[in-house]
Amino acid sequence: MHAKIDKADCMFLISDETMYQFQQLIDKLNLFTLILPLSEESYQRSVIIFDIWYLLSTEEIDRISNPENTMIYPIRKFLLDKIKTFQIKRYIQLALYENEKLAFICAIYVYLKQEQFLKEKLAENEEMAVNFQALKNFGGKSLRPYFDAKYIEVENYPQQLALLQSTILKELQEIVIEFEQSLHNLYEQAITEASEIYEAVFGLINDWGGRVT
Amino acid sequence: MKISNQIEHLRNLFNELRYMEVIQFGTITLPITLEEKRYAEALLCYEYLASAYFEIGSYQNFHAIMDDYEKLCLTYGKDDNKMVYYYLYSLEHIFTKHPDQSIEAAKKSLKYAHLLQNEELIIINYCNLAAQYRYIKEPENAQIAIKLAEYYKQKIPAVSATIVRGYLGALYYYASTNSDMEFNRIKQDILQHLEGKAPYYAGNILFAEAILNYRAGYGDESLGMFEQAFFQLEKQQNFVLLSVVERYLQRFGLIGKFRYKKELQQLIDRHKSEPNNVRKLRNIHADFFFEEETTVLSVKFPHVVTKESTIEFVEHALMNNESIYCIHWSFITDKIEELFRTLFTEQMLFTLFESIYSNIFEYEAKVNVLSRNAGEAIIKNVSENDFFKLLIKLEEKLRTTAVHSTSGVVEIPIHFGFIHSDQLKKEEVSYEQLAAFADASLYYAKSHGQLYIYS
Repeated sequence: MHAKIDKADCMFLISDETMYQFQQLIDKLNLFTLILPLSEESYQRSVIIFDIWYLLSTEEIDRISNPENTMIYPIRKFLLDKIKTFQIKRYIQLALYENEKLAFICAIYVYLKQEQFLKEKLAENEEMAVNFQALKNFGGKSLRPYFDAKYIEVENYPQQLALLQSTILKELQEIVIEFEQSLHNLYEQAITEASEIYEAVFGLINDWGGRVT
Repeated sequence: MKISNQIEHLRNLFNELRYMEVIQFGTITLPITLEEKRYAEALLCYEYLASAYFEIGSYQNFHAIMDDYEKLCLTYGKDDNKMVYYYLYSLEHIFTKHPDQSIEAAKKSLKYAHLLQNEELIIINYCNLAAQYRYIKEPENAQIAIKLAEYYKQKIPAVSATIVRGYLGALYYYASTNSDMEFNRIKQDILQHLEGKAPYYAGNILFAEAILNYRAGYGDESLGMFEQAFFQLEKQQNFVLLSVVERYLQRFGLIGKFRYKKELQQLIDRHKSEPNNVRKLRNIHADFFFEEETTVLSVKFPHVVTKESTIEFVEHALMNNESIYCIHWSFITDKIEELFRTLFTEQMLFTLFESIYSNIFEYEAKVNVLSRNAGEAIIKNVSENDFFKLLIKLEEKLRTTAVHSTSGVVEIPIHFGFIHSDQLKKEEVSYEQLAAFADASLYYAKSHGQLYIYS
């Protein structure tokens, strides 16, 4: 995983300390990241996992969205909102606020399952697969430079890119509405598997979270 | 059919731990597979041969096989081949005393194993990592690795013979943490699976017992065990493990008291760790180059580097306050691909790339191939003037490389995108940011049909 993430690329407004904390986790829990697919390693992937980690481990009242990135990364925003509305078992959710390691492992598994969902759906929808591939051709890098003031002289905004993103978003919205339950089941599975593996390595979760069922 | 049968036979021999027979039959099958260009099968032969040589402790043969195995695997190997290759590569580095390389390779093997959901290799690699992290004194990582190994172990009901080899890593781990109970549990597991098989692992177990005794504070008993392990390994001619035994004796400060010190060192010297033609230690990320799209390019242009070394190069330059240009280029090949065919286009791209390559290397530059028709170069300490001169020169060169078809001359458009490190805020400059900005600028050039955009 990329340890050097620019906090400006995140979907939330982040402090330097929080970013440092996450970078420490990448280092400490490196062995848990080996489960991520080798060929799809990219900067963007690390940023998405960071967002999920931050979302899971921070109470809503303390989270502030980064409005600029909502426009630059509409697809990421949409998927993150889906995770936000998913109800995690209460005792795990409480533990997540307390336990950054658990949140890190959960973030990796949630990301993996979400990718699995997308892959399955793309296999059934050729047109959408082509569009996703086109977006991937941006190399998994930060998209902020496309919206940078430096390029305003050339074009008000990157038209092709924006069009591509909005097309994908529309298709994605339709699919998620149709298969919302299966996406939620995958999130559920992700949290269960992640907590299971966490408990196998570090001990029971209810040691501090308080198991309330 | 005949080759497939031979491979099946090898697989069975290997699972039965009949290593000497694996070597005898493997050396017959391997040349046939190579001659008939049956590379998938050849890779399996290499895999069994390398593993067998490693398990019996024949150092030089193991190295020699790994050398050829590497070339074939990185060129023709599929994910499952690479998974096993990196596992063996990791073992190789334990004995060349490069723990960092070994750990990186084990991690890489694990990534493939997770991708393919091969639980056997997942367990073996985590056990291996646990032992190695323990050796380099990173107890936290070692503990995570062993717990992960145990976690995945629960998931497989029947344990195959192959996994027993992996358990040795766990045995060494528990020995060095002085965990008596777990040590005996794993030992019983191993012994149970070795029942009725050739006694290849007696020396390994004695060696692990020696470590356990030392960690439990029984120095004399430990020394006795080391001696027994020495006799056993000498009998088996397992020079791989003998060199590890010597390393541990030194680490524990027992070498002075070891009665067979001279004999041990003579044996190791005679079968010296490095083979006759020493393999250069390669960057384990090298296989990124052998992804299908960049294969031919990277073989032809050896100075092209990996992404990892580009990042290193950038970081180093930034640390020294040197200025950098990051330039991306992309050829639009749709038209010639439509008119000619893939192979022809590829040859064309060679010619174009060669032009860039030869011109850019006049400067201090690192070139990284991003895909068949796109690339990236990082150029250090070049003035703005010289940089634009270079761009003009490149454009001129590239324009002359037009293709003639029946319907006239076809040009291959090229676009550049670049950024200078001074254009970004100092705290923002990193490889990722430079590459992202260069890409954005390339995007604008492409979408406006211009050679490049300068702002």
